[in-house]
Amino acid sequence: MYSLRLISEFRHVSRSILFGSLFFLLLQVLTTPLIAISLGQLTGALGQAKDVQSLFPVLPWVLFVAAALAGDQVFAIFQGPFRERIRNQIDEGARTATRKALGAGRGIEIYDDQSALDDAFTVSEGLGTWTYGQGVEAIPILWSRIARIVLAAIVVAQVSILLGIWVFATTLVIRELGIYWHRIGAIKVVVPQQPMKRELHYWLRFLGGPQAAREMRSFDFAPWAVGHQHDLANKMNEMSFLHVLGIIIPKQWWVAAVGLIVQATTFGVMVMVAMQGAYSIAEITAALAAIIAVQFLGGGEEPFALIAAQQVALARDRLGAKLPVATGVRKTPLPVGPNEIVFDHVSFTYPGRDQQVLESVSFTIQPGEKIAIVGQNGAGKSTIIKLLAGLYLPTGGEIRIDGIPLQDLAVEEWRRAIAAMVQDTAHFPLSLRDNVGLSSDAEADDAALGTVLGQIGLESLTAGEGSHADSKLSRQYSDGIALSGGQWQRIALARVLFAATQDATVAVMDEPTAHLDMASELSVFLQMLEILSDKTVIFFSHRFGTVRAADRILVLEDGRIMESGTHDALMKKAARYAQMYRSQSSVFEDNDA
Amino acid sequence: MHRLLEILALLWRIDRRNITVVGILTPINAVTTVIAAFSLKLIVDAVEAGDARLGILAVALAAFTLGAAPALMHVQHVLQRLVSDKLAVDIDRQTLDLIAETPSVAYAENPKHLDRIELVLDQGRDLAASLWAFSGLVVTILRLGLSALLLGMIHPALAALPLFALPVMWFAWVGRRHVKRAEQAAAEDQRVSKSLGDMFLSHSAMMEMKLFGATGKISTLAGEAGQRVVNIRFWGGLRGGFLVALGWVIFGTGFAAAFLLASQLYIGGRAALGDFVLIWQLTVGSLFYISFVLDRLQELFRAMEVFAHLDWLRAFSHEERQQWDAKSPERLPEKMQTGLALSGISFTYPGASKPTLSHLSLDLKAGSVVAIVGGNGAGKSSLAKILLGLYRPDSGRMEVDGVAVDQLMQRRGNTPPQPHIKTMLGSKASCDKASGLARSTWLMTMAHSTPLFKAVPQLISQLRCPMAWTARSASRSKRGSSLREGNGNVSQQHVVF
Repeated sequence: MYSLRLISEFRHVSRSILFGSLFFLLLQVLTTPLIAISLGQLTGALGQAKDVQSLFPVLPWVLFVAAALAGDQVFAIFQGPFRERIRNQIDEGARTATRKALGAGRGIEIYDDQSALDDAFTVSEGLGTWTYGQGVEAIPILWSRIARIVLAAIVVAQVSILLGIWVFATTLVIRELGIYWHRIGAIKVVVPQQPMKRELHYWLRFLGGPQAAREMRSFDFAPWAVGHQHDLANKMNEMSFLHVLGIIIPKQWWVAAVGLIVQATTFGVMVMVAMQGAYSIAEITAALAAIIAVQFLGGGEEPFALIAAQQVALARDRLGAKLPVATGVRKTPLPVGPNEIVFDHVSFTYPGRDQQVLESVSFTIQPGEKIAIVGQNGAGKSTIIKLLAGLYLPTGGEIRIDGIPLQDLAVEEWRRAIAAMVQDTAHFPLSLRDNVGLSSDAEADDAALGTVLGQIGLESLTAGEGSHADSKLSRQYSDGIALSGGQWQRIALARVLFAATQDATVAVMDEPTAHLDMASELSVFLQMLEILSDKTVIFFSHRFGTVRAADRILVLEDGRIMESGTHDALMKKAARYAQMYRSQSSVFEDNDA
Repeated sequence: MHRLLEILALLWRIDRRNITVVGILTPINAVTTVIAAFSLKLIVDAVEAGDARLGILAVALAAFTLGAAPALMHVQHVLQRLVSDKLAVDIDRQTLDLIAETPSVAYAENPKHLDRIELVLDQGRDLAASLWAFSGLVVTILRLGLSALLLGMIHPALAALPLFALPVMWFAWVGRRHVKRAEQAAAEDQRVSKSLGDMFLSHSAMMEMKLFGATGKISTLAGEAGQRVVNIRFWGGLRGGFLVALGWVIFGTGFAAAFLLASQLYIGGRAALGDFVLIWQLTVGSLFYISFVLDRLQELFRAMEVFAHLDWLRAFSHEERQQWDAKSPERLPEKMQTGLALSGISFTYPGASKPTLSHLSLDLKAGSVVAIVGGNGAGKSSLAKILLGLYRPDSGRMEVDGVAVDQLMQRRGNTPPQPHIKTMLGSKASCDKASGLARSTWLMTMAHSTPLFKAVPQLISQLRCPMAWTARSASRSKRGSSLREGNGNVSQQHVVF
């Protein structure tokens, strides 16, 4: 049944490739009965031939059989790249669809669910050694095999209808018998191994790839990690071996016994029918050739690939059931910004955890206000960003944008209005242009790129002849350039600035200057605030030099807002903020002493 | 050929029992298919002659070879797969070990090196599976030989028919370079597609992508890179296919000639109808085997590329270790006596135009605490990497207690020789080495981050008094701050870049 559903995956395949492949497949299907019939005709013609001259009528049949045999192989050869391409296109299509599904919707709660990630992994990497595309692509091949078996059975039926039906039925039974225990193995052994396979995949790419190259050497953990990867792989193999050696191989006695009885019956009946002399030698040869041809149609790896694809499809269904679906309820459009942002007694606890991260946090941010939020590590700062962007919903209280509850708002529009930077930005293997434009729908053209890079002191990257606008930001790629930690931070700032030239009206920045040195920090940041003067700016910082520049400062501690006010007011209050400020400046004084 | 032997030795080491079983089953299965073809000839002969006894014998033979024997063939394939899986694990291990043993991290910033490693990591498994192409090849040749023998019994000239299979194989061999080029051309796009794709399985990357509203954009970019890989491989495969198709046309011609010869013999009364079935059946059987081998050969050619890359990795890793290997090894001092001295160190990143460090000289006294400060891009992290042995300086000398670092290599088991910087930092004995080292780098690279300012003196004091602080440091933070009180001004020396 799944085959019918899986066949819809062919929508990812380009038409011409699909038709090309089906054309070759059809030719292959037709060769089976044609070879059988022409062999029959050949022997029939030979029976009447008396001398070499009378060979001429035989000649076309000889050439036809030869052409059909060679043609069958030629078709198969050309079909090879077509088949591979179809598989890969289906795989890419399924991966892209799953990524889009993971990326769509409001939150990221699904990333706290390991089994959902296992399923996402299964969709993108396949099951066992089979990819999804291999299994889906096997379906037309398997159907074409059935068509070949039917055609061969029809040729056999010319001699005996019962024998024709018998050949058709037994070929299918034996084929099913051959894969039955593999199917069970796939469900009982291979599917439960997927979490291990995901871990294995992670280690392989982590240890073999460039990202861990430094840490693995300086922390000296490579010997342990490689050993761990190896043990895990061996453990997985052992599970499979138990099934293969304990179940699949012993069951082959059954397969052999059934095969023996079936073929003895088939050939026995065939010989008996032939010996009765009711049919010509041409008909007998054709029937025999057809029986022989189906012997080669039962095997192949396609059935195994299909079993895997069915399990992948199940994994995708499980994943799909967990992903949010569009409810069709029209969300309220976002009013023109900058908007007023209200946190009204917001509390939050991460899914599956006990500890409350935010406890009844309330504040109001006026449009265009510049707000700094300060606090110790773990005070709940990054949680505020996640809630503000709607990545999680508060477990208590409400967030309102211009009076509209956040969950009723069209979340895509709201995120487009937010230009965000997180503390340690992922190093996307994209070009400089794409990295800067990542947060906006529009692409950064040369002029816009030059402007924002100039504003944060990276103008040298696109200046002059050797512009790096389209170079990837990593030396891992052939046109790539390497950036230092400080430069990466400036890229993240440029991303915010570019988004602000587009639809963004709120800039949210976590530690915007942590990787910059003191000298550049303040000037870069003050300039940014000036450029963003008509936007709302919310930033989280440990650097009190930048914090001072805010209109208002919120002090967050243990998930609560402890103080709020301007720098001067808070200093005058001489409480928590003043204490934090003094302790930081004292470090500098110590060092200067 | 040496590679074949190497693989066989490896297989033998990995799974002696199953390899033996496969080794026995393989020729049995090959011979069985030839007997199957022969039994079909006997069936036709029996019908033509009206010989019931021969008919029963022929049916029994056919039932056994075509009914029962496929199960045996299935056992062979299942066992082959099992051995391949074991081999794949072994190849992964070899690859990772080689990468881990390479002392410097230069490969991680070299696209060409990464492409090669990517191919090994991605296709090591295919490599293991394709090894059966070798056994398939041997069996096919065996089978073609047997076919030639049986056909030669009809007429000596017919024994030449199996030879027509050779052009097919030869053209497949010639066509492999298209596949090879395609693989190399696709490697970088493959890495882009994978690394973007992996981001969708990562919590933190997904959070950022959603914040940016960039999930659609990035999945599209990943998909496009994936599509480019698909296209490159498709055309490579198709180009190779044309040559093989030519081989099959030659094969078809040979087959037609054989059939015509047999027809002539039949009319002359020197061949039976069953002989046609035999020719046809042996040909079909051979075709089946040849096309199976061809499929495997495509994998094998790919696998040979992978092998070449693995060999390269072996040589590369070896060469890198050679550079670091001590010519006349010295024992590491138990504790650093005088200090660490750098003189005239210059370093330029591979491919960069400007040097990052030029003629840097530095004396670090044993037990002293040194702060390295400087603006963004001044070269602080690069110095850290050089000190940690992650890069080899282009020129200059690094000495511990007057002994060149090159001579202070130490081999531990099968792990690579590594400069024991931990020892050089004087924190060897009692404090957790790995953490001690890690934190020292951290200090160097992160010390300008304000929240750490408070922690720096604490960490330094602990490095100098290496009492247990790694796992327990969090719970002892109070004691840490009291240590700080006692230490006052911890930095005795500043190095300004």
